[in-house]
Amino acid sequence: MEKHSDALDERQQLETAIARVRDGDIKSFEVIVRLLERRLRAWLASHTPPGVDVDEVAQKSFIAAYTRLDDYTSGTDFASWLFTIAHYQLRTETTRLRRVADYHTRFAPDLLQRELQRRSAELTGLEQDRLDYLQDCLDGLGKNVRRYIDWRYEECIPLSEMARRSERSVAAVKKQLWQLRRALRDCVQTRLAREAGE
Amino acid sequence: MSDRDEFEQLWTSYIEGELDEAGIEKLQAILSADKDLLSTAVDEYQIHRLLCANATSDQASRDAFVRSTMEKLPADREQLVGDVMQRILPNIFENRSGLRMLRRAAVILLSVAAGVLLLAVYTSVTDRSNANVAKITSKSGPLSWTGDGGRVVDDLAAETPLSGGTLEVLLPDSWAKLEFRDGSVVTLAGGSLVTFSDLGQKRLHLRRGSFSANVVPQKSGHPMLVHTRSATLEILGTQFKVESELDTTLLNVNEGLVGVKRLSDGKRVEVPANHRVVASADRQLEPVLSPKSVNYWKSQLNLGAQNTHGRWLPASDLLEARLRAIPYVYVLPKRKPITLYLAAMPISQGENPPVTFQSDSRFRVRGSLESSSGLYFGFSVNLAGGGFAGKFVGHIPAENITDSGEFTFSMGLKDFQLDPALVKLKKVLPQSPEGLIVSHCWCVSEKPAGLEVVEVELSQPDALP
Repeated sequence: MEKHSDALDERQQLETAIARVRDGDIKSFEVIVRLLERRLRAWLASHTPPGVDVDEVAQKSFIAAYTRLDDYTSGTDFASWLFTIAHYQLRTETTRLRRVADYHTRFAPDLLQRELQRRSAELTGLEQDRLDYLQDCLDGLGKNVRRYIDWRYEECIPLSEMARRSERSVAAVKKQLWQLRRALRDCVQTRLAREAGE
Repeated sequence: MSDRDEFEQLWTSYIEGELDEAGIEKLQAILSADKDLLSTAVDEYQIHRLLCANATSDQASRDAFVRSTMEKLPADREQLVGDVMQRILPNIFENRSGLRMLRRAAVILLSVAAGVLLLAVYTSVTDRSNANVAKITSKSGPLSWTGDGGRVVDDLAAETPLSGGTLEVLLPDSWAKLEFRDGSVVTLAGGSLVTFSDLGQKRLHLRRGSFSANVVPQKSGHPMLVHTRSATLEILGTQFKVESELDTTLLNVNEGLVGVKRLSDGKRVEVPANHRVVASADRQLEPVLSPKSVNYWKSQLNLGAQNTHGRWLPASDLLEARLRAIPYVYVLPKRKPITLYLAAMPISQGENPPVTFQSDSRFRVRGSLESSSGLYFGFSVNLAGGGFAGKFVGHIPAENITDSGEFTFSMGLKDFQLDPALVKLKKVLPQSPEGLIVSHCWCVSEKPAGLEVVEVELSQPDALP
């Protein structure tokens, strides 16, 4: 109920800001960016293949939304409209990457890129909440295993250093990270499924 | 080792950036043989990327992102290409920055030298009769006004009252509407420079460019006088358009009667409504019926750079003549400059018949790009009787342009929208270019992509060239 109320409040803030921008108050666009940047960047992060600058695509999406604001129908869903723009921006970028001759041998398997593109076309409102769910799931991890995530993602410590600190082999650390990511994936998907069922 | 185990090892190495090209090929082979593993890999990758995003979503990095995004916005939501277009097409024959520096230097010297005396003279003159001769009622793009005493004002706003002086519409795609106290209106086209005064009789010196005018009846014996390099026009009350070039003056009269005196020999003719005359030392001074507008136009870049904007490149054995886009740096206060790459050309200009945009008119643009880029294509329109009527612009996404480097695209009425830069004038400008005279067209690339325009054609499906 609280989440629903927050969403309504956000929509109201967005619509107010959009009206102001349309009246020439450019600074009000900052409200829009602040309200949506985290979700947009998170969504893009999980759908962009390696080699794509997530923030650059996110900024292009905001700028495209800004320059085409007249095309948005007030009172509909601005966030979805923005994500649709982002989807097309991302497609343009991946098309560019596909044209780079040795991209696939240097950066990513072609199949990975294609599957990510397929998933990015399946826009659901819930996708935008993944980051929140991930945070909840992280908070549920035990301190002993959470440290691996912190070392790897927060502190960017090399695997060898992680192995030294935990007195385990590098292969074991890799395995630990693999298992943790799988557990987090299951946790996020369970929460998404629950949300979808509500 | 099972495929799954091998996959797990390869994948974790890949995620850590430790997989070489051979490893990536191996991973690709495993993934292509097992859809479940592919799904697992993508799930894993998404969570990995989400963890990275989560790690960098602290308030400082979020603030930095917001700040950087706001800095990258065009000056006005409604602007981007449109507003840039109002500042481009600088006069290729003149170094404006140098001229402005000289002007400013002159102002400083005058100020120092004349001091109090200048102020006294200025007050005396303005008190007498020359104050508030006219005012700018509307405008688009930058203007520069040099008033009494050499005072230069670059940031003229609408409704600014002006005493006699020199008004310059700084860029060719800009315009300004000047209204005299008696209601006569002069609409200056972009790139024009005019000096005006009204000491009982309106005098305009058109140094460069063109303007259209709607002049209310003037006092007997005190016609409005328009001086150009090659002619003097006497107007008692009429509607006309005048274009001044180095050696010729082209006058189109829509209503009333305008007297034209050629300076080279003093010969005088009267030009009635719907007639035009070319005043030039080497041409016959004879009014002829104004040509009817046409619906077809095609660029002729093979003839050279005729008031075009861009780098004109002549035809070679292998390539046609073309116009290469040149960069324009759009400097925004307190923002990062934006650079766009532009090629532009006039359509209805000089002695050619005016070209009208019809509901089924289509632009066909042929050119080439050296690298992928989205393009903007736009055109400006005038009213049949003269006067600015708007600009329309359309976007061609990069993905709609083939990889070969050469492109041809076609755009019709529905592909264009009123230039967003003119949103504040939306209520007073026509919402559609239908029936209006097409003045200029331009093509802009979003990136330094080596844009070259080979040909632009405006036609209707059944129009004959």
